[in-house]
Amino acid sequence: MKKRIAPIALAVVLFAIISSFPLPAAGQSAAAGTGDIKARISSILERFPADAAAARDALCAEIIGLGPAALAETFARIQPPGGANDARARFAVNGLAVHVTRAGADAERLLYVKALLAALARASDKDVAAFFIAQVQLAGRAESVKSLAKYLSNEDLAGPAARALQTIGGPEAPKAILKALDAAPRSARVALIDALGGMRSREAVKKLLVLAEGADHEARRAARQALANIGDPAAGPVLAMVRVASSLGERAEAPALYLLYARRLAQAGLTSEALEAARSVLASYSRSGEAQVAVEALTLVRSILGEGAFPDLLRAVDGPVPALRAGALDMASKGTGQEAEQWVRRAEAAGPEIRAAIIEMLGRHRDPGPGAEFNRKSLHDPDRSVRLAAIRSQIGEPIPDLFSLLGTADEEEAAALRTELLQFRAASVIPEAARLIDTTPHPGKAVLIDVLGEKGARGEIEYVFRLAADPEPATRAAALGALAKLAGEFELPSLVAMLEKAADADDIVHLQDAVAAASRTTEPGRRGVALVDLLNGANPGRKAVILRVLPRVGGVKALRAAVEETASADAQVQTAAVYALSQWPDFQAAEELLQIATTTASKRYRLLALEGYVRLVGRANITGQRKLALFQDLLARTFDEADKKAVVSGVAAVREPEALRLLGTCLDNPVLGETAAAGLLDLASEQAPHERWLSGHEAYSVLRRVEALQADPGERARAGSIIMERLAQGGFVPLFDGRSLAGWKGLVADPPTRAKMAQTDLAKAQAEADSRMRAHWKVEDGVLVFDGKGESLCTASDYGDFELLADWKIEKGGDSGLYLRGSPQVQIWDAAANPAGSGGLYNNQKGKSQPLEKADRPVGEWNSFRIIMIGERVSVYLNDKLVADNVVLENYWERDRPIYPTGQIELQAHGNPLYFRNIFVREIPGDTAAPQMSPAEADEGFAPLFNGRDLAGWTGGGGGYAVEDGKIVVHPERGGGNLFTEKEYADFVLRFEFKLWPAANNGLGIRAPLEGDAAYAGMEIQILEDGSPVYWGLKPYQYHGSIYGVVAARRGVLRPPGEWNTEEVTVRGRRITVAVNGATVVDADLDEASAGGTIDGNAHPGLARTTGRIGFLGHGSVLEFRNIRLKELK
Amino acid sequence: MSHPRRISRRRFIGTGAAAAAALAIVPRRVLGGQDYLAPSDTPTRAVIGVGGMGQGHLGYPGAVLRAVCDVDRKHLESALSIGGPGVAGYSDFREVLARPDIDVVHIATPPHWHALISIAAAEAGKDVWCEKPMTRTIAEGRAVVEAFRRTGRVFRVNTWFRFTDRFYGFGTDVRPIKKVVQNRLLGWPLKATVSATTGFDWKFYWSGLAHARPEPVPPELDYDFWLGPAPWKPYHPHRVHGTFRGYWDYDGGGLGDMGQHYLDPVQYLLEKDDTSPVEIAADCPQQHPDACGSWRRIEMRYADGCVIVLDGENRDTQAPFLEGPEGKLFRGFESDIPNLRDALAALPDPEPQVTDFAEAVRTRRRFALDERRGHRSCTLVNLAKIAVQLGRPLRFDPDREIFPGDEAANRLASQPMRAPWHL
Repeated sequence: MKKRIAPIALAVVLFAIISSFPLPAAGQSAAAGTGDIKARISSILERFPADAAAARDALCAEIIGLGPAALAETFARIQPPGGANDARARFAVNGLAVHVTRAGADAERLLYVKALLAALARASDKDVAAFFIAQVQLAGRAESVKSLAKYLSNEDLAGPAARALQTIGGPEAPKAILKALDAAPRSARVALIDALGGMRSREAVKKLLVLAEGADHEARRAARQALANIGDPAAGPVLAMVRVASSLGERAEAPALYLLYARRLAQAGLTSEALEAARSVLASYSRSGEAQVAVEALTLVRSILGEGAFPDLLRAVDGPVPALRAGALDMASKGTGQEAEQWVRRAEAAGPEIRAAIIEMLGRHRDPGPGAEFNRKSLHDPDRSVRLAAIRSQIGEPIPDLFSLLGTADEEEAAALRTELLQFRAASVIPEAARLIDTTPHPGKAVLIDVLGEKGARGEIEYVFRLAADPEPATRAAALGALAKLAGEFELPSLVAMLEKAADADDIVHLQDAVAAASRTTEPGRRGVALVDLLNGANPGRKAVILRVLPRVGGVKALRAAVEETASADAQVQTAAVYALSQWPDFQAAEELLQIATTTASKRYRLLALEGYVRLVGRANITGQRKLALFQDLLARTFDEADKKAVVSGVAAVREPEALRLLGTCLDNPVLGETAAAGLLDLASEQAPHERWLSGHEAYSVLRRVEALQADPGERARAGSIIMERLAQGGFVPLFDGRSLAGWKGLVADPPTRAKMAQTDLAKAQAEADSRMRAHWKVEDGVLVFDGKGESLCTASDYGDFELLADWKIEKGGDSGLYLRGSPQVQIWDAAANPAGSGGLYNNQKGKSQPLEKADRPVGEWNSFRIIMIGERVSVYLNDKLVADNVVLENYWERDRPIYPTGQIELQAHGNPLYFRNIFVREIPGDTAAPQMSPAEADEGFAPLFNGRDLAGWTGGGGGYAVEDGKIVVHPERGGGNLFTEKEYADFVLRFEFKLWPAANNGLGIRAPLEGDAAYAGMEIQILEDGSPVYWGLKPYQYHGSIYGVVAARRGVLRPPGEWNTEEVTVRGRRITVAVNGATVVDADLDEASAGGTIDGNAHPGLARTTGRIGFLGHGSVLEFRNIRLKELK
Repeated sequence: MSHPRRISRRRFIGTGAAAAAALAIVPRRVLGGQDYLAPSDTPTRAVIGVGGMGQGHLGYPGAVLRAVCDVDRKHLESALSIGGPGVAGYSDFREVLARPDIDVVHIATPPHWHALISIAAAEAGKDVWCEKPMTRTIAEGRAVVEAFRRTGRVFRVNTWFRFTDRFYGFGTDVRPIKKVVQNRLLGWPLKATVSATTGFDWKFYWSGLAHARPEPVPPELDYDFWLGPAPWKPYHPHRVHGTFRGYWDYDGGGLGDMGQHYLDPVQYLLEKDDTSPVEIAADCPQQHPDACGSWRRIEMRYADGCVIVLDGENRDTQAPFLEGPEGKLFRGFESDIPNLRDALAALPDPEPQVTDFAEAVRTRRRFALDERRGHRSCTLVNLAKIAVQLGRPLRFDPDREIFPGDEAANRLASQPMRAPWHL
């Protein structure tokens, strides 16, 4: 959006400094004291990570030059994860490993490894030890074996040590592992066995043979795997036995192991044993579902016998398993004439299916010789599938043969022939194609014409023009297609003349293509010029024809010509011009279309122009916000309601929450309602994972209205199912299925009483209550109906924090309510008799019990509740109006206690008939609380700017900002852009927490306008992981907390990436202060800071603004925000 | 044996580890079933790894989804809710491979799992559609190639620019570019530059945490299984979902993310499907042993003189995408060769490729981007990673696929896995 920060910078200077350091000789360093060494290492580590390999090598040489004590000191800086920040030391240690493993540095390597092993011996933390072992794995050799072996019996470190030993290899490593195997803890054994197998240690075979038949299942499997990999003949019987006498799981692994073993035998030169093993597998895995095993065995046979395996391949090809056949043909070797000859003979004798497969195989090999000859002959095979295979598998350039087939080819053959012919050079196919066209019937004829076009046969263009006038439509179509490839400016007049005369609809389409293509083939600067020239001299009829093609050509000149013709005196030309503009391919035409739409007197032109404008805006590369703003402007102008429909469809194509709102306002409009409703359904019919707003309450409430507006039952059902899908994606589950009382139960006493009841008594009472309930609560037409007698209806489950949606209806004088967590109540009553209205927390004594406003619909109509309960607090929306705002629900049953943490939801019986429907609940995970604002902050006047649940009050974001677990998480891969508050703020204190990921880049916009680059058009308080090596060479005014480009921030107070930081930004008049993690990093007066120009030298007109939006300015990075709260300063 | 079953949404927690331990691998043949599909049959599919990338695989055309698998319960639940009825959920991929009615396995796990699951799938008789980068190391790539050669199964990497789709900044697919190259209109050898100038943006925000405080593993995640063959490291949310690319243990930063997308078509254009570069040099800041960092420039040279330059800084803002002794081709298919399009018309088209994976599965033919080609293009990524990690010029033997005389590089190219996982 804003600023570009060069991610990487040169280090030439740095390197020059480093390499000029005198390297002390090893002898000198030995004399240095420990204190000295500590200080030296500290200063060297400060320079890690090095910016380039040469600088790294210089730093490493410096450490090594200081001797073993310096290495020990470096290793001593490694901390357990979560301890002090040891990133620089890790850079250094790893850099040393890389440095000393360069060619010809063995003495240094030995010095490093010895010090490393000593550090390993001292390491008390297992993660630190594992890090050291991983470094030994990089740099260690035989000298490390003994030290590593000590860890083979350590439960945590045996794995890393075994892997390091496996990497080191040599004669000593397997010996050490073998020696440790018996004493190793059970959990480490598999790692040791794996390493032995990985090293193919023959001396381990004896021990592994025992383990391979032992009782320990995991060791047994690992030992068999190791034995197979080692490939010692002694393991044969054990591995063979697995195939017949083991558990199912072991048998399943058996063939792969046995074949691995056989491959190793073959590699060791034991070919007859290997062959025997492979053949036995081939013979016993012959069913269709075992093809992969058979192919594997055959592969081995083939690799052992070479050409001698031909009979085996042949048998496989003849067999009934297609996958094995394909595998065998894949193994057929290339380049041996003899084998190719045998394949040809086989193909001649085989049925069409195998013949075609062999032909394709021969074709893949591209060998001239018997294969090529046979494939050419097969072009004329009586079987069609064989012919098709042959067409695709020709070797060399059998051009006449391919051409000769065109005369009799069917569609599929013709298509295959076309593909093949295009793979030859133009000169070798054009003459023959041209010669054959007149005598070849379709579809071959079309292929020939096509070849002329595709191969650029400009010399044949007159002939193609003649064909374009052929009475036969297929010939004409092919020829016009070829003209689109061949024609240039020179042919334009002829093409236009033809287009003017053309009557056949297909011809017109093809000719338009050709005209457009011929106009496009000029150089970029002359795009459309030739066609515009033609337009200028043409009569009205021809003008109309040309105008129709103009949008396909595009370009500035064509656009200007089309605009000019919209003022034509000739109605036909004028219509064609307006139409052309409405079809224009790029945004350039938008202004012109808007101009026409707002000025023309013709209804028709206005609609055309509007539709074109809406289409162009919809496709334009601008933000959804901007598109909606343009559409809203348009709606505000005085067009026919019918015209507005076009705009409303455009709105529906913008996937932004604001589009939802805008369409919602159109629903009640008698003319636009239907279009808006259809648009809303389209919008909601699919939801991408980041479009959470589509499964939120706002969408739910709007879509419910859409549903109610649908007259057609099918459409209503569709709307209903879309709503259900969205709700489900938003985490809502239906509490009432519309058919039964499933999920509900009768009422047994109040919560305190129930809590005191014994389990058995409760169960009995519940059963009785359930049967009473069924007498009075019924389902009628998808509505839950209460007959006015009996008791409340309760959910079968308990709920803690939740969002509840429910529709209700009462009769005159009706009274009811919703109990939350088993406690009364969100009030429902006849608002005619109780003017305060419904939705208050009726039983509250201390807190508010009345609703904020009366939002009830008249008795007899449906009302909708949306109730959010988090902790003790309840918010209620009645018919989308907020009637209870985060009010504490008091405990009615036990007045001295807070409300219960969980409980059932109840529909209150109050002696009158009640109706409920559309009841959904979304459970809110416990940690998704609203911002954690201290009471002191609330008293001070802070209010949450972000509710922790959704982006209510925010706008924009391009889909890249999601609410997850009470945080705003930026997902750059889902969309990018700026997320702004809906309201503007002048002076304020903003507090928030943020978590940076490595190299994260974002920004806090203040006093910013919606449009423009907020860093300049408003102000941007930089948010950046400025410690990342990605940002070498930042300017101070780019550090985190800076007023970007204007005031530099103090650096060094950010916590490491992945941890939460706090920030407070105070904006009061011209004074801005920024505090990060409690430390003030910016305290500046804007006028002083910008006097005489800003430090980045750019214009910052936004500094003069006195108010604007607050926003997060996305820059393609992952990061998180939470607890955003604000106090306005008045 | 444990029957494949639908895991109850509520009861999933804790079953992951137990299921892994009690697992029995059931080969397809034990339960019968066909390995060959009639042309009219639609293949069936399982998706292993249904986090970020995996969600996209659920709806790919060409096969019917039957099973999903993830070691994170939340991912699994989300995939099941998208998959609808008839889709079963698993926490252990081996249970999925044991199902006889699955034809194709999609692997959308982090890269450190790609090789192991691919090989196990081939040995269980499945065809594989695997996310990029194909494998995390060169040795893993070789092992996959070997396994699919042995078993004759069909494999594809989930990148496609060598055969379809608009090729980044070129306004066309790769075919006309291939035509330019194969007809030697630019001459030979070629230098390819992959940078923002030529249409490719290297994503340096995939960077790991060099110093993180361990956090408790969330209950929905089987972290030990997630790590699998990778060395054990204390848990931090940044190591896993969505941000794992920043760690060498699982991937390789922006190179891992976009490398194969960008480089596979380059390899195809340079006719290097059967070989690898012989010299690799990286200019970059020193790398942390665990967390990936950025780099400025990586240059890879083939034996015939062709060169691939990865320009991370976009220093050469005039660079053509392809440059040969006789001409240059820039992004947007611009060229210094006059009338390039006309010249192209007269020349042979590239050979057609098998680009429909379902067709490859049915006919047992090799897919356009199979394991061999995929391994070679992933080797470009892995070579670049090693060059960045070591910061010194490397020499590579493309036939033996080792770094002659450079033990440290070889150790990075082939790393033993954490037991009980092994190649």
